[in-house]
Amino acid sequence: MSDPTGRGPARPSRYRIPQYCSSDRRRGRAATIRQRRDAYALTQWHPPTEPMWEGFGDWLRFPLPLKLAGLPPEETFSWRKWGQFIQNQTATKVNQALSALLNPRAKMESYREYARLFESIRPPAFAAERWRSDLDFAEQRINGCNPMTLTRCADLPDDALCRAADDTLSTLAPGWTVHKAYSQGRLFACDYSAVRLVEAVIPVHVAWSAPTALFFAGPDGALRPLAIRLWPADHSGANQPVTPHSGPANWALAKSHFQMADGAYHEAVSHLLDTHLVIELIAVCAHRHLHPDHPIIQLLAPHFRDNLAIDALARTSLLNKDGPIDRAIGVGARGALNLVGAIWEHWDFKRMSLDEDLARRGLDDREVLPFCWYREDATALVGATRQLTHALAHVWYPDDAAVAADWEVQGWAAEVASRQGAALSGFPSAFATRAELGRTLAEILFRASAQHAAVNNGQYDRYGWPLYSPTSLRVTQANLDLVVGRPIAEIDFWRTMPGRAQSLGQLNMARVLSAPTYTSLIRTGDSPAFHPDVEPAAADAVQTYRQRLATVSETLRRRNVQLASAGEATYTYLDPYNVSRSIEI
Amino acid sequence: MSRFLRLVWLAQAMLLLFVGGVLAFRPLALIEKLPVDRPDLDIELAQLFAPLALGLAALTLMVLRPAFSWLRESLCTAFVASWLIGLAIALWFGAPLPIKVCIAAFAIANLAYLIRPAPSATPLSVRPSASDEAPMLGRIWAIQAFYYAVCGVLLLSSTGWVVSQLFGSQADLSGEFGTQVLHATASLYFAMALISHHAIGAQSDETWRSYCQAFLVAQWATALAMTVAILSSDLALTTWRVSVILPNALLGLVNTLTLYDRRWIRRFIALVRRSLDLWWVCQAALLAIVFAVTWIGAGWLTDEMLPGRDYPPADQRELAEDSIRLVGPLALALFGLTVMAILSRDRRSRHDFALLFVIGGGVSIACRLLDRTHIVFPDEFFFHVTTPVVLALSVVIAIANLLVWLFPDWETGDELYRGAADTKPRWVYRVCFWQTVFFALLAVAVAVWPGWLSTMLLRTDHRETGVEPLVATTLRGTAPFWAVMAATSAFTAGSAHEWSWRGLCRWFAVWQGAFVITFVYVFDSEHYEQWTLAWPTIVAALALTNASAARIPLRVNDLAGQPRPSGWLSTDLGSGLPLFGSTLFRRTRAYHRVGVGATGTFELADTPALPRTAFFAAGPERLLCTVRFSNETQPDDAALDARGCALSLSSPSSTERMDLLMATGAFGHVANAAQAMALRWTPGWLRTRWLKKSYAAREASIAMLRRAPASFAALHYHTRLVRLWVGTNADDETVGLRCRMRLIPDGDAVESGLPAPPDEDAPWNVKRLPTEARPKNYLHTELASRLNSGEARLRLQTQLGPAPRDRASSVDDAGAWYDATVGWDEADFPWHDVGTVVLTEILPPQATECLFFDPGNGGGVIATPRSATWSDERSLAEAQVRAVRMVGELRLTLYRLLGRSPEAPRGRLP
Repeated sequence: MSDPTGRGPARPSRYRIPQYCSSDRRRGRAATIRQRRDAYALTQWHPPTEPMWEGFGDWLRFPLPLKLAGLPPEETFSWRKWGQFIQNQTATKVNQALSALLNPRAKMESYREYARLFESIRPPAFAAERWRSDLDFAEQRINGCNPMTLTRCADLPDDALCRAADDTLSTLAPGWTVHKAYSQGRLFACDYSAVRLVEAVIPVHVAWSAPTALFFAGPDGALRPLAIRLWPADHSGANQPVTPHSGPANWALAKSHFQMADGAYHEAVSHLLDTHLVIELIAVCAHRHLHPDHPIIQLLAPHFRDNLAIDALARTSLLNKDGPIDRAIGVGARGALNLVGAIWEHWDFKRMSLDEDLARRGLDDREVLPFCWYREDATALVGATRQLTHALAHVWYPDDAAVAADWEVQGWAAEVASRQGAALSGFPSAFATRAELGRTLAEILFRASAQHAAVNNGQYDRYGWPLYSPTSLRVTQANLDLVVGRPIAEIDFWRTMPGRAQSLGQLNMARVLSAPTYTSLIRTGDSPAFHPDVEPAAADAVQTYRQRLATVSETLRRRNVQLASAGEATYTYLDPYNVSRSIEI
Repeated sequence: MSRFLRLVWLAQAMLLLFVGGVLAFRPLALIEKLPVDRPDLDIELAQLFAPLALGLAALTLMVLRPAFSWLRESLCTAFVASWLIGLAIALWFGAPLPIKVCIAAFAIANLAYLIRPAPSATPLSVRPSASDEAPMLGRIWAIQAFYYAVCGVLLLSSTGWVVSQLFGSQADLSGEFGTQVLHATASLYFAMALISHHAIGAQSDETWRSYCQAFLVAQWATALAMTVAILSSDLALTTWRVSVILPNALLGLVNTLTLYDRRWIRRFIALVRRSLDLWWVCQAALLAIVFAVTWIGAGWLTDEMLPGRDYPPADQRELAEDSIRLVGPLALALFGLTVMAILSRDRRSRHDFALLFVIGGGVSIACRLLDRTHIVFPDEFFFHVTTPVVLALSVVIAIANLLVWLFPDWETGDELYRGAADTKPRWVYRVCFWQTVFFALLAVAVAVWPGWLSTMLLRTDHRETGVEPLVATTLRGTAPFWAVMAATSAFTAGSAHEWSWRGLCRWFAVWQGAFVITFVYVFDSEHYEQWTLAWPTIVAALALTNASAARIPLRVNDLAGQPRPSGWLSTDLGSGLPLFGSTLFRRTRAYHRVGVGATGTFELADTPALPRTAFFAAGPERLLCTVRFSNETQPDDAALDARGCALSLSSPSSTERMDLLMATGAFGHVANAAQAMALRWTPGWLRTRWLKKSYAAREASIAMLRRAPASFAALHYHTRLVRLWVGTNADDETVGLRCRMRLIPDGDAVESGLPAPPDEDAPWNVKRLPTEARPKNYLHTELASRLNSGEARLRLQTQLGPAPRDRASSVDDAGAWYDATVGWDEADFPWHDVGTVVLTEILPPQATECLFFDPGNGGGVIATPRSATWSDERSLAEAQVRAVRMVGELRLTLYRLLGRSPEAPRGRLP
């Protein structure tokens, strides 16, 4: 073990890579790992075979990622965590009861009636105030709780959509056309045609669509919506694009359709799959191959805390039949799980790494999208994390050969990447160098903490106000009028919005999922291996990392103060003090 | 937090303050106002609730502070629970409607906070870093927590007795209601203990201050309530009542001072340390006066203590005078000890001396309290005056020294290396050992059975004179002296430094001589039984041996470092007692009972990397070696067990000897003496549970255990505990390098008996496998046949680490180097050959059983590092030396006196 600080020779420590351990220690480690492989077994996840879905047939069209077979005792929630759950649930249930008690005859056909949903809990003020704003609708694509779908247009959209967009641009930004915006890289789109893949399992009482929206990044840096089309171009029925010129109710309803599809995609893919399930696979394989004293698991374990437990709980109590997701999300639990399976087939760890993802979607262009706070904050965090993991890899491994010789870490990588194992595409099947190991660790830490915070922390701010982002819409004539381009009356718009039970279910779920963290990213390195007496260089690296995070936090706070004073939405989800160290909710 | 809730909490605090004040000062007014008629609701009962109300008020004020946002949920839950309990009581008593509504309103208001909307995306408040005073205040709060826990247990377990002690006959709390109320009060004390415990972890300034506020309010309120109760109800100021007022007032004062300026503790401790020299001078002067008054002025003191002209009869006064005069030498002993404490210039020594005085003060307090409850003597005796004086003096001595002991002015990691080579001859150690046993038994006897002892001492015709209580209480008064003597004797036995043990032996000789002279002077065959002379005879023998020990000419090791005594009383007691008891009752080894011995020679290897030593200096003659291989716990060689190897190397031309205790496995279960003690006291079923739960424990077992090895000579034995290799390097400088040693088969043979996966998964299943057919003692016969047909060769190797460094110049990495749960990796610390053990002859069972390996014998090569505390990783090696010596001495003595145990391994032999 190297000692870059020059503070003395290597000192004996149990937190070492296996090849440097004595033979007695190696035998013990091997036995422990063997036992942990039994405790952390991976198994197929096929919900249709579970008793709760009996009678529904085999509705799962796409294979899901593997899951942990049984939750080991050491992975269960702490009493404090259970206390938080109960406290949040109690608060939401009391609000639900009060709302039902005090507004028994509400028809949910006006803003006021939706405001009365919040009898004992605080409504998300910003969303309640600006729920019909186009600018905020677009802002959600880069600074909301799902900044993972907006993509720069690689090709020009089809003519119908182009014409509709041109129509909007003519008044929104005179002198600009779709062609010009496309050629200058200012044309962006969000495409949720994937929702059509799960059509077969969507409940009949839900009005759903698979929309595509075009956005224009103006020279002033603001992103604005141009047009929304509810179905893909090859849709056989009426499929008229909707623009702000189509009428206020039409446009508002089109945005609601878009938000509903976005909500389903966000919860199923950006949130559940991209963070929870992927990190679960990595965590389970890590526990199966890395001895608890291995320095890498000492680093990672706090970032895996509660992840496996919350996933197990989600499978039984959130994604179950008639569970919160099934009731609150329009596509239902079956739709969400099919969506997960559909995207999982092509999921790639490397492609989803922050840098590649931003570059692939064109969000790394600071000139075109200068106010993409998700990009700025995530880049700052991942940069600090890379410096940490790079430093730690050089502390623990004297050279690249030592990485290659570490059979525990190589076994972990092989199982994560292997088709017979976790089958996580794009994950290195072996680590050849310290740099590669450091990069991968940084990506795991980022995904298990900051990326999850980016897609999780803002849920109440967005879904907490059902009109702002409905996750389900009622089946009405207005939906048909919308796709044929017929004007919609305001009252018809309200009648399409989710009912009270649906709205309460949605905001309850969002509130529980957005509970603030009690263990922030700033507490990275809370493991014995990082004690200064054990390895001063590692302790120093962690200390430096925490200082960097504190600096990042200070910068973000200053920026948010400026934004708030200018009356604009702040972006606090990636403040290191708000970022949970692990996926704990 | 909304303004409404702030107002609610403010109102709640005001209300509770008012109620608390009324309950404390004007309980009668409140009781009279209540429209209830309950005879069991009296003043004292009402006053008991005052601290509860005031404590809740303090907590409410705490909630209002912004720094406590993270505590609000917990405190609000407590408020809700308290108000609901209050509501239940109000309903039960039939309180007026406004009171019930008021209580319910507060309960609902606090509940409203609990179910409020959770703020999202607000940055968490980060606790500021811990202050320097945190550890010190933490200790005080730990004491406070202990006090409250003891109070809670007392209230819960002995409710009626406590109430009768506190309130006498005035309190009518014998009914069911009263008992329930007191049980509820006990839970309040438990809550205070928990809060005190929680306060230890608090880190920010705001938190400290608020905890202090809460504590001081509750403590002053309790002390005040009791004082008011005493003043207003004509209750006498008894010990038990004082024991409520004094600790609460003291803790209240401490918390008040902390609130005012928390640095007072550091300053106070510094002041205590500075003034301790002065105090010890005062203590020495006081003890000198006691010595003079009791030894020279015994007659005068007797007259003063027994002022009655006719009682007891004049000829019995002599008895009283004798017993008082015997206290003189004991006072002289403590005087000598105090002088040694003053003369000691070593910080560690002062710490140890302080512990001795704490023990003395503590035993004295206990004896005084026992006097009050168990010995009834006539009121004419002066003792009813002297007892409070002695009690107060004992409390002062105990507290002052306890402070010094609790807050040492040195820290863990200080003084890493002193190369403590023990220069004390073995027989001196034995004398100290048995002296400790004798004094400890004596202390227990005089403290617990003074009446019986006085009956036994006095002649029959003097037993009915009424003087027995006086003799008995005087005897009990000597218990603290004997306890300190026992502790000091143990201290001497464990001390490795000449200054220390020689000085203490001299001190023992002086006061023991004075005691014998006094005893002979006061002895009168008319008053005492003849067998009483056995007592001074034993002490005289001890005095002579101590005097001889103090005069032995010795070679002082150059590396002995600063002379100072060492004291590991608590650890020795904790770890040593089970071993001692096991050895005493089984009359054989506590562990490693089944073994086989062999002898041979030791061939030195030429390894330039090793520092040169006189013991291993290459010469024409070979070193002699004796080895004992053993199973740790199992009598069956085929069982799953750790195997031990004790190796002794000695030079035929000198008395130098080096003993190494080794066992299979490069690392073990425990890292320090405290853990070893805990493991020693852990019952088997709990140990198995621990092994199932803890992977680290399981891995240590896997490392240590071997199932049915082919031969004792085919195993790898490690010392595990890190010691120091003292020698001269290439520059002729004396160095002490950290080292670990092992004994492995000569050649590259794979170690035999390594556990297979089933054993690795369940290392608690130690019995032999069903397929195993070899006899239970096959390892013994295997070694015998191997040596009959040739020889067994094993290589002794060492890993050398860096020399200990000064704490000031580096990070405190000492613990990592000495951690016995972590082996040293071969890549960083290669093994160096020391030599080869060539075993040629098997030892007969009788000789094997009588072997004794003392890890303190380092042959001038191996030194045991000193440790600072029992959680220090170095403490394990230090404790091992003392524990092994103690039980070894005991075992050999038992063999000599009683012969070997019938359970000894003879039964295993073919």
